[in-house]
Formats: sequence, C-alpha cells, structure tokens
Amino acid sequence: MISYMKTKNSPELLTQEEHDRELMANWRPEDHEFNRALTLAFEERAQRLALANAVKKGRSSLQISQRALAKLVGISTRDVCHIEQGKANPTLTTQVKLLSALGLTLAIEAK
Amino acid sequence: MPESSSAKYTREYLRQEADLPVLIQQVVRLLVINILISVGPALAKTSWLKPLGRGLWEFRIGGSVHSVLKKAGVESTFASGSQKLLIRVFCAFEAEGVLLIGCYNKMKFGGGRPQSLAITKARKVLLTFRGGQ
Repeated sequence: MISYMKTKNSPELLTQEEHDRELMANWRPEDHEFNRALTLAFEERAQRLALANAVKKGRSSLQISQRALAKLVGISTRDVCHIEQGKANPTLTTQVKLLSALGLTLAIEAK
Repeated sequence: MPESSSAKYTREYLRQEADLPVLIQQVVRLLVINILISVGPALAKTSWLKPLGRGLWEFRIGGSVHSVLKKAGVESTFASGSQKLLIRVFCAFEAEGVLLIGCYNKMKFGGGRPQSLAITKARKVLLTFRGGQ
C-alpha cells in the first residue's frame, strides 16, 4: 500500500485515514460517486485476474493444454486464452464449469 | 514498506497527489495501488514504467481516463472518461516495497525544465532515503 504518514513515530504527520479523510472532505457528491464506481471497476478487474491466475495454476498443475481444457468445458480455446489473460468476463456458469474441470470451486467470502 | 521508515520521504508525493484535480487524483491513486504497487518491478517490461537511472523510476499515466483505464484492464463507462491526464509518478523499488517520491502533473506544468527539476528533486529524496537506511 501507499506509505502514508504515521502518527506513532512521527506525531506531526497524518495517518493514512486522516490524510484520506482530509482529501475526501472537499469532494462533491459526484466525486464520491465516481470514486465508488472506479473502486468497483478495479475490484472487478481484481476478480478477473484472480480467476485468470486460478485457471492458469490449475491447468498447469493438471498439465493440460488450453485446447484440452476448452474441450472439457465446452468453450473455445480463444476464450480460455482470454480468461487466462484476465481479458474476458465469463458468465458464472462458465466460471463454475472451468473451475470444476480443474478440481476447484468458486467461493464467496465477506470482505 | 514500513510506514515509519518511509513516511517522511513520501510527503512530497502525497502533497502533489492532493493537488491534482479530484477525478485525476482518484484515477492516479487506484492505478498506483492496483498497478504500480501490485505488479511492482515486473512493470519494467511494460510502457507503464521508464527508468530514470540510479534506481529512480517514472510510472507513466497518460491519455484520456478511458484509455488509461483500458490499458489497466478496467472497464470504463464513466461520463468523465474523455478527460485527459498526463501524470508522472516518481518511485523506487526498495527491499521493503515501492517508495513513492513524487507525483508530477505534466499536463499542468509541462515537460522540459520543470519536469527535470522535479526529477532532480526526486533523485535527492531517494539518495537521502538510501543514505538513511
């Protein structure tokens, strides 16, 4: 994370939370709205990358090709490639099929 | 990066980041966290990073908000996506993590001498940081 200022060792400096609070205090409602949407978009990206890594690792440990995995799941090799690159946004059904073929499950956790 | 060891060296970065227009500030913040800090030195092989020599790097953010987010792999449907930004984040990859040194608004201040001065300043901060380790 960004190395913000800490009060413990440097009492004259701000904590990360204080710094952020000061910044956000001047934001308009639309700025908050944009920040929420942007944060969500980055979270969605992180989820896509997590899926990409899981598929890549799972496929590597089973030592199967993208083509073989695609055939198992019933999607195109190009789709598998795009999913592994984090470029695709597969449906929940495809995600479950993919992970199941790799012996993995999709878990939902609270933040 | 332990905050206690790097906090005073990131002061300038934070001040400059806070001076950016709010929308740009938010985009820069999320790119720094999700791309620069998350990927780290592996970014050196990409157009995101440019070496400035002696361990100082430039994290390059340029184009419209839409294009920058697209490059980061983020879906952008934001109404304000056509807004342009040209930001240079001066940083260094230290053993403890990424040290953020400066955030230069090239759109506002231009390139040339002001940018060179900002780089020189960032280099001094990095040298001081390394000297203090």
